[in-house]
Amino acid sequence: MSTVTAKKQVVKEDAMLLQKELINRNYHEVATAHNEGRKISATFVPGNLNELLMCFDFARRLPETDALQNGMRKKSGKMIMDAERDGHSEDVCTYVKTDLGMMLQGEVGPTGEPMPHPDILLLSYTGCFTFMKWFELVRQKYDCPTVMLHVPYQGDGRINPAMRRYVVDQLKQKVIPALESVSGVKFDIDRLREYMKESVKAEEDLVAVLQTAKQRPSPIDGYFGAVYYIGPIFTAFRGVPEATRYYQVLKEEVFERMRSGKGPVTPEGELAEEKYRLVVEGPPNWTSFRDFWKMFYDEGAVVVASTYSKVGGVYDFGFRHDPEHPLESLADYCLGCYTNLNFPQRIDMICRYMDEYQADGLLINSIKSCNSFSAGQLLILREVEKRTGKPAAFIESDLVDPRYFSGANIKNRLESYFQMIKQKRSSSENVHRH
Amino acid sequence: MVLTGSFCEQPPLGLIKSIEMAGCYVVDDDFQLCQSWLLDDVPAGGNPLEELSKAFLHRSAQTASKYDDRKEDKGRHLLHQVKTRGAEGVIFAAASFCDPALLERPMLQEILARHKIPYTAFKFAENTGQMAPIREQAGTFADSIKLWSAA
Repeated sequence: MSTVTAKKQVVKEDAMLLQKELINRNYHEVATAHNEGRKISATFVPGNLNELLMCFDFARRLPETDALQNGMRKKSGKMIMDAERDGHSEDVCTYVKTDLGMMLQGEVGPTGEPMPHPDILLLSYTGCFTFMKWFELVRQKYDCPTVMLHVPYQGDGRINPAMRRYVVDQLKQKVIPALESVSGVKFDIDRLREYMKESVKAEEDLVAVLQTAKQRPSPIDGYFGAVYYIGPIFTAFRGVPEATRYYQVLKEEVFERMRSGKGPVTPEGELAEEKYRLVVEGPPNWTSFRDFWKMFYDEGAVVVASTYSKVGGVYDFGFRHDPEHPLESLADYCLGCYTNLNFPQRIDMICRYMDEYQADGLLINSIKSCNSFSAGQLLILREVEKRTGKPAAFIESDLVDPRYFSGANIKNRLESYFQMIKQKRSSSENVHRH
Repeated sequence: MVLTGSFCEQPPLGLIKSIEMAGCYVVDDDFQLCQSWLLDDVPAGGNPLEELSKAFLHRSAQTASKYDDRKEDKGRHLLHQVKTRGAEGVIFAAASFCDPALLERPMLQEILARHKIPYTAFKFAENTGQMAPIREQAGTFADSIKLWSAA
């Protein structure tokens, strides 16, 4: 008998494999861009202006995605420690430190290919203050031009015409001229419209997929599965025909499962019985992503909706890119990002999910080093509990710092939470029976 | 010393006293930043909102709480504080989990190093009660400056 234990086969949907292919292809494009005479842009996931960047032929880097990919490949721990040795505080965003650590380690990307310097940093500011300092830090290292798009916070819980105008004016007066100057490509608004037509198709299909979770059983996991589904549209692929095809394939696959009454596909196969339906707020932990997911599917818990799967664009309440009004629609996209919503809006959104997706409760995964998500989460928890009467729970981990994932504590907390839901459910059934 | 990074939360008084008792006389700081952020008077003649906006945007000190549009502006205000107050070093004292101050710190440290200005750094919480480690760190920092100056 072999002393080597065979590695367990991980089950993946076809769409997940296709998604991986797309992401890897983008890393290759970035790695070879300079050799092929292309310029490289870097920008953030929330408020990423992918269609606009494509108008200037940029190869597109997204530093948060780089960090999470390094996290999933167990490379981020060392990068974070290298950044801390270089003077960065243990308290700050671990995406930032993974990015800076990657530079310190010789600028090799998550797939093992070189990660060349960006030629421009598009600092699209959508509610996360860290973004501003992150690109200041990168600029200090790389000395590359930075163009800022300031997106006003939805303090009043709505987008007014002045806010939209303000963003459009910046696009016209600052962002587009800067992208033209770095790339040497003249802006063509019709090209932007064409990309946006593709975006709309993908957005429609993504929403249809995410909303299948309203069914019982849900054919998808709206958090652990959804992070794969959002990969292409939230990164360098929104607006390209490959992404449109990806979402068609995904939709067909998920709709077929829905028609057959099947549950979500987990890394250990299809979930046999759906026992708990949850809404989750906050990003996942990436370094122990599978262990974290297992704690849910082992207990028959399915996440039916999550706020994190809207971090790169909130599409399920009707927003679509509009090829007829391209710049205004880019402005609305940025203004409507989840991290740019105020607390009452976030609470309304979660309560709506709890109701429409018939959830048993809310779970908050509070990220130690992510202030843009974590600030105010206890207030959200209390308010959602008050409004819905459903139990909520709070766990803590980190994005990509393996030192802050305590599996045993999280598992204990989750198990007692599922017990609480069960208890609450049976007492409510007893009330209805009598 | 110039004490910087405490703009969003005033450190406990005991912490400031501990720093001074350890031999670091604080000649400038960024406490109550709003009182000193604007670098000159806001013109009283024009549209008040417009003038205030311009003052905050274009005539305010470079601090961690704002974005520096140009790389060259980073740290300019801190260097000015050091020079005009005759400071011999900088103490970075940021509140725990204060992203702006903590993310800014390595950039400012690099600039100080380039100008051969000594610095040290620590964090505090609003309920920090144990001052001994801070006193020790500030004392060692003061001693090292004396040694460097003498050399």
